[in-house]
Amino acid sequence: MNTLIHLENIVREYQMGEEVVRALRGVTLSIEPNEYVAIMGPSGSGKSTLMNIIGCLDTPTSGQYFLEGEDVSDLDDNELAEIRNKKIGFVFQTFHLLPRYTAVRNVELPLIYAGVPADERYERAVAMLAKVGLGDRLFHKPNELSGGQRQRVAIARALINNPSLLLADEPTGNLDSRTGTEILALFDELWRQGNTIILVTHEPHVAQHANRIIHILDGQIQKEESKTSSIPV
Amino acid sequence: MMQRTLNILAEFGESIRIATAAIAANRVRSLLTTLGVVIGVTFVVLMGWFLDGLDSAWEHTISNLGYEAIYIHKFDWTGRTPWREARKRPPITIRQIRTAMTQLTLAERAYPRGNAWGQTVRSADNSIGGIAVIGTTSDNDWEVANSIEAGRFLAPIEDLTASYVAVLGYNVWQELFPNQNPLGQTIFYRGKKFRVIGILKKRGTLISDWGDNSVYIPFRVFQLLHSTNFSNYTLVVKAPSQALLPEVTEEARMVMRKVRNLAPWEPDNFSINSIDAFEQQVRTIRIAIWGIGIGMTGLSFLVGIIGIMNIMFVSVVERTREIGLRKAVGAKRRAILLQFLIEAALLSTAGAVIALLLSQGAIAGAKFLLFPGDLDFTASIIPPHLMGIALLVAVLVGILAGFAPALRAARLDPVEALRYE
Ligand SMILES: Nc1ncnc2c1ncn2[C@@H]1O[C@H](COP(=O)(O)OP(=O)(O)OP(=O)(O)O)[C@@H](O)[C@H]1O
Ligand SMILES: [Mg+2]
Repeated sequence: MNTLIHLENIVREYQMGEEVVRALRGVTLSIEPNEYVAIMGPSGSGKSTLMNIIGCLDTPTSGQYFLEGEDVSDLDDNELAEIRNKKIGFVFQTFHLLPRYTAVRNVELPLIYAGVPADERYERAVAMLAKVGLGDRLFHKPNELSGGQRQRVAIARALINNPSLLLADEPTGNLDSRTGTEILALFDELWRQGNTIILVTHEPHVAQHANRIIHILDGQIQKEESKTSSIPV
Repeated sequence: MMQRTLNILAEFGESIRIATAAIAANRVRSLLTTLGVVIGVTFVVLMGWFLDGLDSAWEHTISNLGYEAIYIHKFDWTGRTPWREARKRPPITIRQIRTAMTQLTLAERAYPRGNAWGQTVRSADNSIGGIAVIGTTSDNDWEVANSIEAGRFLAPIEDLTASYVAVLGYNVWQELFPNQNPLGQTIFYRGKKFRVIGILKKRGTLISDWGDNSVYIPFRVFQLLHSTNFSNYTLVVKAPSQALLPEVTEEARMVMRKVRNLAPWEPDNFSINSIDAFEQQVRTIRIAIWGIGIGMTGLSFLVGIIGIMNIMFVSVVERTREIGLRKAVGAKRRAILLQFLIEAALLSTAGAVIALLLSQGAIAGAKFLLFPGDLDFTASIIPPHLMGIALLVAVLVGILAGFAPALRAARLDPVEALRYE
């Protein structure tokens, strides 16, 4: 099976006291390797919930999720951690860098939990930072970096383990438009190099970078748009 | 397997770095948190140090007095029979001692001894008071066998012929002959001249240092110098081995009862003293120290555990988003658990290190102020085994205190943790 992601009738409910909040109400979706997907929808429509399930940070209440052919809907905490470590790279709206760590140490983090020896970790982190254009900011701490630079560190961290999947939940949400554009250019470049990217946004011009746009409303897929190719190469 | 080892190694190294950074970032808070551990470890170390000193003092005492001997005397050394009552007992006379000596069959040796306390002896130039003059025979030589500094102990013939010779304890010859060789010199006691034939090494014991403030003279000479109603005579009986001591003691008791004409229903009117009696006392002191010590230590460690546990819970809450992020990039429960356990253990160990420094200071102070004299058998630096125990206990306390917070951290849901404000 070649499909990277296959979601089958995914439901995610939250129990809020008496009331049940249905964040996802039966999502069925397949994503192939090297797709560039944007998920759009209004606030509260379930975009982050869907991303968390795709990223194995969360598990569905019902439905099945196959990641590279493996059923991951019922794995336990530790098994999910291992999958996140090996197959998934996250980029968050608020960066989530560790404030006391230098850029290199932040990027090394996933490799620590993969058991990679220290000197190899360091070399790979340095190379990855150079790749995202931060070769001259290796030993800066997050508060010594601009917002765009912080997001580049986070992207380097997401890519360090050669994941099958790069997930970004509103990666430009905390950036000014010029810096946002730079980050999107970096995503485009990564996509061209063969990475599979899923990003969440509610800005249409951000979504235009993807070659497939999925619209979500009230926890369901409302419609899809496809482009044969994304922005001109 | 190999990969698993690598994983744990990497996580371990990371945990140590996180922990040191976290502690360094909150120095004052960390210090206050470890107060209980600091106090607890200080107690353990000082207690262990003192008991070690007590033990070696005791060993020294044993080697001076010996386990195989009993000292039959009117008074009881350790007060099992109160002095007030013992005073009413008839004196132990020389005749009784001589008779008893002929009837003892199991003893390796038995001999008389007389102690006169608070005596003054003189040399040509100096004098020393507060001395014990001990009249005894050559059979008493075993007691000082390892303590002869120069010369020799009393010879059998010197007792038989009542020779005026003396063997001087360390303080005595130091005082009387500060700049000369005491051997062959003359000392004066009760108006008589004695020739010095031997001098002893320093012998201070746990019980007292009177051994260093004593002068040995032949028993018959002692008898001549003291009035006929001198009642402070002792019969010393030595068993061939420690194992035979009970039988030898029992025989000596029977013989003494017979020579003192005691009817079967009458209680002993003499005391059989031995090192055992002191050992009981030393044991009681040990138990008392342990009792107090363990109580205090336990209490401090309880405070320490609660303090560290509390601060670790705070730390887990403060670092919720960090935990979420670590889990998001692949940290398993084990890794997070390890991280917080190590932080707690390191915190506690830092407390132990502070405690070791404090204890060392206290020991130096105690040695300077309390034991400047002869009776100090305590170590001047903390013995390594105590350091080991202190650090081990600290690590255990840390793990105990850190477990609940670490478990809470390990079980955090990554999505919730990342969203935590
Ligand atoms: N832990 C939770 N407990 C209860 N309800 C939740 C929880 N997380 C999300 N929800 C609810 O699920 C729905 C979807 O939330 P989600 O965060 O996926 O929205 P979103 O599309 O990402 O919104 P935004 O664009 O504002 O980020 C919302 O109604 C939200 O209130
Ligand atoms: Mg969202």
